[in-house]
Formats: sequence, structure tokens, C-alpha cells
Amino acid sequence: MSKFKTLDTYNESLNGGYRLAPLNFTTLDGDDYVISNMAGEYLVVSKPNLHAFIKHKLSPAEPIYNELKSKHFLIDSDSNVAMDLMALKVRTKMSRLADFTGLHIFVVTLRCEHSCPYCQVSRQSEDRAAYDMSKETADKGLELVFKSPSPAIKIEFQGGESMLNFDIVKYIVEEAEKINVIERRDLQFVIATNLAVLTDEILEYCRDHRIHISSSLDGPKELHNKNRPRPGGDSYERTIQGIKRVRDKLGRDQVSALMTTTEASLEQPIEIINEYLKQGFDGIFLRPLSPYGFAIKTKSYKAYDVDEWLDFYFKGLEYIIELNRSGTFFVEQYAAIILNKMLTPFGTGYVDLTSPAGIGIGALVYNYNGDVYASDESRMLAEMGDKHFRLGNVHENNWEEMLTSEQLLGPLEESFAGSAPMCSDCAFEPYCGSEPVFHHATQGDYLGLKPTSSFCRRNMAIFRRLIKLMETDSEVKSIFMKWVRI
Amino acid sequence: MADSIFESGKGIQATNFVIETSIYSLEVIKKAAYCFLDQATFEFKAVGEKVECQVSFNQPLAEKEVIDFKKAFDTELLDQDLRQTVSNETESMRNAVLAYAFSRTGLQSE
Ligand code: SF4
Repeated sequence: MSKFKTLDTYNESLNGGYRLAPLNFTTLDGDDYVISNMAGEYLVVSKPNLHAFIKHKLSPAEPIYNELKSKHFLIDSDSNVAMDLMALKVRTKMSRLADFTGLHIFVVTLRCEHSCPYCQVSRQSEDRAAYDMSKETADKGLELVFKSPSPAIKIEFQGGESMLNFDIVKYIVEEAEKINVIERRDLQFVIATNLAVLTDEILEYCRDHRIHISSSLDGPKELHNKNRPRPGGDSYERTIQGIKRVRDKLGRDQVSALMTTTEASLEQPIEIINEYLKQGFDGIFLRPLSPYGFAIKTKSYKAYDVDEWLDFYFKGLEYIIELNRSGTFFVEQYAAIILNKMLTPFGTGYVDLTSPAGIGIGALVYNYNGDVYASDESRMLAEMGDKHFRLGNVHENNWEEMLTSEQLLGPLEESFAGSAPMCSDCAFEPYCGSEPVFHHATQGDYLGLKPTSSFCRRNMAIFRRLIKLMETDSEVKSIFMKWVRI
Repeated sequence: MADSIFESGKGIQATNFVIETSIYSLEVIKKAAYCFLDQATFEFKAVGEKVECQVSFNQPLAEKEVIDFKKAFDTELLDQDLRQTVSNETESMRNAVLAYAFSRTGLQSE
């Protein structure tokens, strides 16, 4: 039975005229517009050209005509495979959906010796029984991990401070390796840690089992220690020393660092970037402050609005571009994720910038007590008493029950940007995400009202800036080309 | 658009647009209004071939700001109208591409 016309139907000879292909457009600035297609290819066109094009009044003699044609925005009698090509590109971008779920996060303990004011989940407790993951829970979690059809599986350990329950980390690594002898997936391990309680024994274990270390570095000493109080006030010193020890033992590229942005960070984008350079990193992820957990409770989320953060971000980005111009290869990683979507046919698994949303599809989180959440943010929300995105418990529910639960399918369906008001018309939709957890936390529904959404405001400003930069400066474009697919 | 404004001591709090539905469809008008929900709330009333659009600003505006708001709203109406043209012409093609992209097999005719 025919459900849709074939793609060939749209490739018929057009007798000299042209047909529009599916596209969205949004203002860039002034009289310029960005148009994009479903595969994420974009073009900047002037308002008169846009109007002429859509009203079928654009002459093939106009230089923009061929650009529109080569990026599949129009189909004429010479471009009879345009729709097949476009469909193939869209399919390549969507292919990650069939291979869900690649990232599995095990929260091995909530205990932590730091007391960071913005932290959503940690507990200053000696009570191992109350806040540590048990072997029984780990076993059940692993059963679920290998139910995922993804050929590549990354198991990430988080806390609290994950190294405070390193015995269970070892247990999970060894059990996963045993299962993988049969499963033969591309299996990787990452441990997220503040490095403060790192020992030689742990380091050796990580080396022997090729566990990547993901640490936290918020910037220069004073800022880092202010953000991350611990007994002795020496978080920065321990982090820097830890990074060095990991590099010596495991290799240079076996340690990465993530920063958390706080109100205090906003004044110091250059200093933060310089700290990353000083520590030998070749990139930084300039992150917005998470709206979850204590961050909402302590009002630190509301302490600065999205425009202040954008100011911080663009100052940082500009500085990073200058570094690259003068010969230092250094990447802003959020921009790199977006540029990958703009400049390559590949999708990215980055949970915040995917639609359908990355929850469940991109990552699953196994909490210390066996509760399973659709994303890390979902479990942070749960720590505040909102268990909206709890999919079940490893001891009570199976894979099918959790992955087809209303807690997952409801928000996925309701938040889908392709059919959401404003997003469905937005030229930036192929680069953006739907973020149902963020919108639920900040606006009370999965979809969110995009004109008032700080997620939308932040991302739209970044999309516009990145395109504008590439349009106006070819050197920036070639710098950005070096950032993609790395 | 013919307009009236409602002023208080603090500035202009509301205004009224009247839009001909022979020029812009109700769908287009509503989509344009949606984009400004961060600045105002809208109420619509159909009056014959026209739509009366009551705009209440979230914060009182100066006269110049109201003029800018109207200009931006006009541009958005035009853009939404063009989007409607694109959508009418390409919707079935969009569905065919999506069907191909989302499915491994089976959604297309032989
Ligand atoms: S959230 Fe905003 S930027 Fe993203 S697709 Fe929707 S309207 Fe566009």
C-alpha cells in the first residue's frame, strides 16, 4: 500500500521553472536571512533575493541561483537527484536514533568531600550504606546497558566523588569487560572526578583498564577554590597535581577538564581560558550554569541572566579565535559541536542539542539506589524532589518498560522541535535541541514557550554569531573547519 | 494596520492592530503573534473580513518603542506569510524526506 509518494515524484522535469525544496528561514541581521534545509545546510541570502526566490521570480542568471541549487533549496530540470541526496543526508544525521543508547552513567556514590554551593547532588556523609551503589544494583544496571542496541557503549562513572566508591567502579569495569567478550561492543570507560582523592593504585587501575579521566577545572586558583570549597581549601592544587599525575601515568590525552560557570566566572573569560592553556589543554567548553538542583534553590541560576552569560561566552570565543589566528590551536567545544552540525553531514550525540531530545536516546543514568533517569539533568531534578523523568528502577523494571514508559515517550513526543511552535519555522532547528528537561525545570512544561526560553535565546544568539563570523571572515571559517570532527 | 493606543502615565500599555484577512490568514497572524509572546499578550477578534488584534504589553512602552514593535510585527507577518507559501509548496516533499530518514524500510510506495 502506498503511504507516501516516492522521492522521484519531486524530481520531475520542470520545464525551465524551479520548485522549492523544504526550507526554513530566519533573520540573521539587518536585511540578511539564513535559510537552512532539513540536512542542516545553510545559506545567507538578502531579503530581496529571498522574496524573489520564494515567489519563483529568481532568474537562473543570478549567482545565488546556483548556490541555492547546489544546497538543495531549489529543484530544477537539471537537478533531478536533489531530493534523493537530501534524503540521504537527513538519514545520515538521524542515524544515531536507531543506535540508542550509547552513554550509560553510573552514579556510584553521592558522597563527596567537596561542598560546592552549586552542586545538585552531593552529600557530606560518611554513611556508605546510604549513598553508595551496591554490587546488586551495579549488576542489574549492567544487564540494561547491554540491552542497548548501540554498537559503541560508553560507561561513565559519576558522583558525588566517584573515587570515594572506587571498589564498585572496579567491579563494574571488570563485569562489563567480561560481558563484552561475548557482546563485542566498542566499550569505553570514563570516570568523572575532582581528582582530590586520587591514589597511585587508582591511577594504575585506570591505566590498565584504559579508563579516561574527566576532571573539573573552573579557572584560575582563586576562582576554582571559591567555586569548590573543601577541607583545606586546596581543590585547585589537588586538581592541577592530579592532572599532571594522570598525564604522567596514562598519557597526555587521557585527561580532560570541564568547567562550571558561576556568577564569579562571568568577569573572567580570558583568565579562565588562559588557565586551560597554562595546563596544556587545547580546548575548553564554556558552559552555561545549570538550572538544576541547588543552583535553583540557592538562586545562583537567577543571579545572572542569559545576556550576561552570552557576553561572557562571546568574549571568550573572540579571544579563542584570536589565539587560533596567531597560531595556537585551541577549540571552544560548544561552538565545535554546533559547527559539526552546520558544516558536516554527521549528527552529534550531544544531549542538549538534539531533537528528538537526547533523553533516554543519548544517555541513561543509573542512580546509586537503582533508580534510572533519562539524563543527568533528570536525576539532578529528582534530587530536588521532582521525579518526573524517573524511568523506573533496575530492581523493578526491565529495559522495554523503561524505554517505552510515558515518562520518556511523553516528553520526547511533546518537545519534538520539528513540530514545535517557532522551532518548526526556525532556520536554526537542524542545529538546535528540544531540551524537555530544561523547559520542564524552568517553565513547567516539556515544550517550553520559546520566545521566553533562555535556552532558545542563548542558542539562537550563538547560531547567529557563528554564521555571521563565517560569512564575514574567511580566516575564521577555516579556523572553524579545523574544529569540526575532532 | 489601523491602530489605536492606550496610554497611562507610565507609557503605552496596549495597542490595537486591525489586519485584513485577505492579506494575511489568521494562521499567519497567530504565528507572528507567537513570536512576540516575550513582550506582549494578544487577543484576537474576527470582525467581518478583518481581525482585530488587541496587544497588551508586558511593560509600558515609549511611543518610539511601540513604533519599533509594530515594524517588527509587520516584518514578522510578511515572513510568516512567505513561510506559509514555502510550506504549502513543500509539505508533501518534507514528509517524504522524513519518512525516508526515519524509517529503515516500508514507508514508501514501491
Ligand atoms: S529553540 Fe529557538 S533557536 Fe532553537 S530551534 Fe527553537 S526557535 Fe530556533
